[in-house]
Formats: sequence, C-alpha cells, structure tokens
Amino acid sequence: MENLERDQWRSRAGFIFSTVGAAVGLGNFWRFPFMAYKNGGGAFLIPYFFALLTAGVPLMIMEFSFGHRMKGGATLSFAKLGKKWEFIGWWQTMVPLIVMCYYSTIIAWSLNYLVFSFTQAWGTDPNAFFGGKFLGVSSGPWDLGGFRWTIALGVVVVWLLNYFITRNGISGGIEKACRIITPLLAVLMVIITIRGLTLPGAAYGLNWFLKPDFSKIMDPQVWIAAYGQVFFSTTLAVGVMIAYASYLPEKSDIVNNSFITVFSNSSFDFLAGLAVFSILGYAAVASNVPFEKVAANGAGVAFVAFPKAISMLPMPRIFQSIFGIMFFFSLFIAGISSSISMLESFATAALDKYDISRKEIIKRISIGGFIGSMFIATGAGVHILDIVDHFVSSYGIALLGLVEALVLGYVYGTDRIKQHANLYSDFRIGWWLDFCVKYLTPLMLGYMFIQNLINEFKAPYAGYPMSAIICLGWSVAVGMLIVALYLSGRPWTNPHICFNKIDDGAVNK
Amino acid sequence: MMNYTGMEPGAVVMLIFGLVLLYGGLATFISIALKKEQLK
Repeated sequence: MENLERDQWRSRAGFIFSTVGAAVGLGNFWRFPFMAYKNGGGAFLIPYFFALLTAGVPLMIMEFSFGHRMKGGATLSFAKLGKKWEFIGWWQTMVPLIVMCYYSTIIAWSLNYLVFSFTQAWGTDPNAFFGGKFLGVSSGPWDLGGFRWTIALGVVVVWLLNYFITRNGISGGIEKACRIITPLLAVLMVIITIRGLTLPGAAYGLNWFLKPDFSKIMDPQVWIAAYGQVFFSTTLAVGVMIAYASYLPEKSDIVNNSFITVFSNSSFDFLAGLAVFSILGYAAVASNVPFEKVAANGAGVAFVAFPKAISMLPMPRIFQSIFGIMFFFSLFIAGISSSISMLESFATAALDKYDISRKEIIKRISIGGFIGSMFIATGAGVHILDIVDHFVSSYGIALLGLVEALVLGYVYGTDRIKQHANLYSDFRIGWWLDFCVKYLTPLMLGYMFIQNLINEFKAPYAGYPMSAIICLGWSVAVGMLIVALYLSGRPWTNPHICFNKIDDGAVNK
Repeated sequence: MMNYTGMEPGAVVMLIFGLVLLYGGLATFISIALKKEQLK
C-alpha cells in the first residue's frame, strides 16, 4: 500500500510551522477573546484548558497518527481503512473546499484594510465605512447588490498566492512559506500586544477579558463553548492535519508534535485576547464610554473596532498607520497560511485518488475557488458567508468530528492509534487517549450537534428567509455529503496506489 | 478620559494562570523536542 512519489517535509520545524500556520487563522483574533468575554472571563480558561487536554491534543494525535500510518490524505486513509469509509475522507475535504471560497474573501478584506491603513480611509465612522462604502451590504442574500471591485482585486491576489504556494508542493511550497509566515506572525503579534498593553486603559480592557466569574463554570453551556472553541480553532476533522501528517518521514514524532501544535495555537489565541482587549480597553477609556460600546463581535472587531482604536492611538498619524498596516498584515498572513492548508487538504485527496499532476489539480481548485469567492465579493457576500459558515460549521465540521472520532475510535481502534503514535515519539500516551477519543469527545460533539439541530428548527438562523436557509445552508451541508458519496464511488486511477489489506505492523514498514 | 483602576486581582491571577499553563506548557514541549533532536 504505497504512493511511490510522495513528497516529504524537510524538517520537523517545517512541519510544526505548517500545522501551526494551518490552525492559527482569522478566528484566533476574534473568536477566542469574545468566547472568554461572554463565558465567565478568566474563569473560561479552566474549561478551555480542560478541553485542550481532552479534545484538542487527543484528536490531533489521532489525526496525525492515522494520516502518518496510512501515508495518505483523508480520502486515501479512510479508503485504506475500508472502501465503505472512503466517503468520510471526501466529506472532510469538501469542507475546506467550501470554506476557502468565503475565507479567501475575508483575507481579501484584510488586504484592503492594509491598504486603507496608509490613509486611514475608514475616517471617523469605521462602522458606516465597513458596512456601507466598503462592503455595500445589500438588503438580503438574494439581493446581490453589485460587485465590490476592490474586494475582487484582493480575492485575485489571495488566490494567486494560494496557487503559487501550493503548486510547488509540500517541501517546496507550503513548508517554505510557513517557515517565514508563522514566526513572522508570532513576532508581529508580540509587538502588537506589547503596544496594546502599554496603552492607558489597557488594564480596563483586560479586566473584561480576564476577570473571572466562577459561577459560570457550573453552566454546562460554558463547557460546550470551550470544547467548540478548541475543536474549531485547531482545524480538526477537515482533512488538513491528516494530509499534513501523511507527508511526514517514517520515523517521526506524533505525540509531542501534537502537543506543540495545539499549545501553539492556544498561545496565539491568548496573545490575541491580550492584544484585542487591551486596545479596546484603551478605546473605551479614551472615548469615555463603557466597554460594551467599543466591543464588537466577530469580524467587526477587526474591521470596525480596531480601525476606530487605531485612529485614536496616542501617537503621530504615521505611526498609527504603521500600527494598522502591521495588524492587517498579521491578519492577512494568518489567513494565507490557513487557506493554503485548506487547498492542500482537497489537493492531497485528489492527488491520491486520480492520475493527475499537482499543478493541474491546484489550477482547477484555484479557478473553482476563485469563482466561488467572487460571489462573496458582492453586496450579498456577507449574508451568504454568514449562512454558509453557520451550516458548514454546525452540520459539517461538528458532525464530521463526531463521525471521525467514532470510526477511528471504534473501527480503526484507539490501540492502533496509540501503537503507531508511540513508535517514535518523544514521550508516550496511554489510556487517556482511549477515554477522550471513544467517550468524551463523541459525547461533547454529539451534544453540540443535537443542540444545534434543535435550535435550527426553533427559528430560521439569524432571521434569514427560509428560501436562503434551504438553498445556501441545508443544500450546502447536505450537498457536501452527497458529492462525497458520489466521489467515493468513482474508480481509483492513480497508478502509484495499490490497496492491500491493513495489517497491524505491516503499514509503513 | 474616564476614571479606571488597574487590573483587578482576579484578572491578574487568571492572566498568570493562562501565561504559565499555555506558554509554560508550550516551552516544556518544545524543550523536550529540542533535547530529543539533539540526542539524535
């Protein structure tokens, strides 16, 4: 069972920079800080840390071990487990294919705002600028509201970068790019955080982020939120980590690499929290308004609250602009390292199955993704991405995580995961992985999925028309599964792949 | 500017908690990896 021409990571550091680059993305800047803010402040760190050790790390070990042992992307790995499981691999790689379309557009927003930072083009009302002049938000998802040319131009740049990085393969493209991007992002984040912490009013913002409300720890919803945050933030169950691990050399560490990847991602989460809340704290104090008035949710933090704070910074205008450029450049590179991992997830799956060159498949995905991103570069884009993201996250990623944990935990078996993971790792894992993968994670993800489903039928998501919910939400969520089933039924044409029976100890030997 | 006090004790404790667990944990795992790589 071999792929004779498989690329490899050149170094362990290159692999880790790439997995961290994949995990750290735009969400680190605005999802974690506000999760903590809404769920008990500093007290949220307790369930978050617990979730890190019982879901983030064990699932990462599971994916690294599975991909490395099978020497294949998600599709090949699940197909080697059994032909009937191949659809799970395709289903997983469908998610990044869809997400890339709107994710690339949000990266393009960052690129636009990087340029706007030179002149602080958002003016005195960043909220009106963002929704009006920049996005030109239409009345609803069915009102396209015209094309946003500056966003479209940004999308072109993002897809060209995605294309040129991934077409050169793992060691020649992704590893080279991430060896620059990930350390650079860390340095920029530290600079931004230090500037934030030294602003007057930073402590006021940090109190909102870190002051603990321990009564919240008794609320099961807070624990679910912590598990959701760790799970979505670490890029699990979308085929990325399985694909990346499949390119590791034979004698590679699995366990410690998983710990380093998950802890690095969470360290970025925490750093972003310190940066965002200290700067928003300054903005609240300087404008003499309560914190709630400056705190925006989701992308609003980066594109509304931050520009406002940047223009208020106590420094000459040119330094304000430099600070803005640094912040939006950080967002941009964090997004690029994640988007290339998403592209690679599907590319690896297709390269494993079909007799096609890397350059050709990357070209096809890039053209398709670019066209998809163009729909988000319209006035309706923000509505479309909101609906699609909600359904892909709730009924794609969460459900896939549940299915993956059950299939790998019970069919493939945690003993195989542990046995392979412990072969060359810096330290070994034991019963803790069985408990987390077989019982705890399915329980948490199952509960999350059922809860989402119940809420879905109570009222249409965010008040959108039912036609949009069905066409853009349910159709995409169910469509991913149907396409996955179709693709798994197609014949394998890659001449370098041959299937033998999986035999313990035989794989990778 | 509105009046504000510095960081509250509870927030300071959670800041230290986060810094020690996350960055301390990360530093530990990286140092283990570096030691093992040197041995190789």
